[in-house]
Amino acid sequence: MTVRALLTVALAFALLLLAPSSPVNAAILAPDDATELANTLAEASTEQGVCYGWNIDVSDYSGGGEDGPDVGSNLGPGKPLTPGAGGCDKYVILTGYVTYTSESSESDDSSSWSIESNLTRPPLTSELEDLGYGSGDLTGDKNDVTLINAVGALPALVADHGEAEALPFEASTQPANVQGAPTNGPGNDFVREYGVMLALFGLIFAGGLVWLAMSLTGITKHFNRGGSSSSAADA
Amino acid sequence: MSGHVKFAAVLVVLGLVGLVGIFACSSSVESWLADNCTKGRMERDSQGHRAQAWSCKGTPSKVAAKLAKAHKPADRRSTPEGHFLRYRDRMIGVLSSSSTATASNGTVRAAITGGGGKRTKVLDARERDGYGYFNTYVGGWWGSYGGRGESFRGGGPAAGK
Repeated sequence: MTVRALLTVALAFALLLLAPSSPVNAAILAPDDATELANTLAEASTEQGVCYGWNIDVSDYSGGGEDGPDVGSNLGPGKPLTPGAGGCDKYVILTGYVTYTSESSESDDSSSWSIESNLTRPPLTSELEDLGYGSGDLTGDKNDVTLINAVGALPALVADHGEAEALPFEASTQPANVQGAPTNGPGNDFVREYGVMLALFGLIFAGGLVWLAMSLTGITKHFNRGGSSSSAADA
Repeated sequence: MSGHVKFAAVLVVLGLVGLVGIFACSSSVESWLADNCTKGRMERDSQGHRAQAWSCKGTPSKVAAKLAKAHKPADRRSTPEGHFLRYRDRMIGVLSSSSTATASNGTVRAAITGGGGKRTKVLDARERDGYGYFNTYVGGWWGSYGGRGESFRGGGPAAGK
């Protein structure tokens, strides 16, 4: 075997190692996130006796993203939950789709989801929306966070409905140096909540003051005279 | 009084009433909890992080949704164990009504007492305490995470994907 052939084999092997190992979850969730979510669901499933999963079909016509289904369950990342199979007498699955349209398309990107379940009182998508997770966010930049939160909320909602026991909260016992520290501090709560209203009424107030000052100093009369004289000239 | 002056006066009054109204009607997360829940004891985890406990009527999801509607959080996180809301200087955990006990593996666990979660326990902690207290659920999401690198998810409301 020549040196050239050896180099070709080595290059091919290196490319194989660099290739993504789990393309199944690449559509929305990164492989690590999908694994973590599946592990969370596995714990919830063991405690509650209810199987959980997600199945979001991603169609990307923009050419820039990744196509395909984003699937996972308490059985593992990339493993779909089949109702009635695998010892899952009770199940809750978040299913949906995301469509990214092409640049030339007049249609906007779209997304939707629903909940499949055989529970008597299953979680509702309206409850996810009340919690702040809407299917419309699946087309956004943080669609992975939305999906993780929405799927993560399912066992809590099942417990709320009395279909299973609530999972126990576990306070961290890790030492502080392992816990890390909060970062990216949020902005002012007051501005976040009332910023738009504050700006609106502030503008009205400031505009009113300016208008009042102009009226009292006679500047508006000057404008009016200028406007009427030019109108007369036009006529 | 000319029409211009009258119109300007209306704008000034409208803006002023709006601004005063906003400041008058605004309330804090703490005052919302005081109005809707019963104050409990101050709780501490094994690392000394403190959180004020509140007992609220309704399921955790309903309470979290109501609180988030009344006071929009900068960030939120939902897990099978409960919901977590992040504000400027505090973190809130909305959990099923429970009591804490130490499990065999050393972790502090909450034993469920309210079947179906008709009563909700809210833990209100200052930012640093909350990040430690809720670290199992928000660690790496809203800050650095020593266990898995400096910024596992680059967490925080300002962070993108």
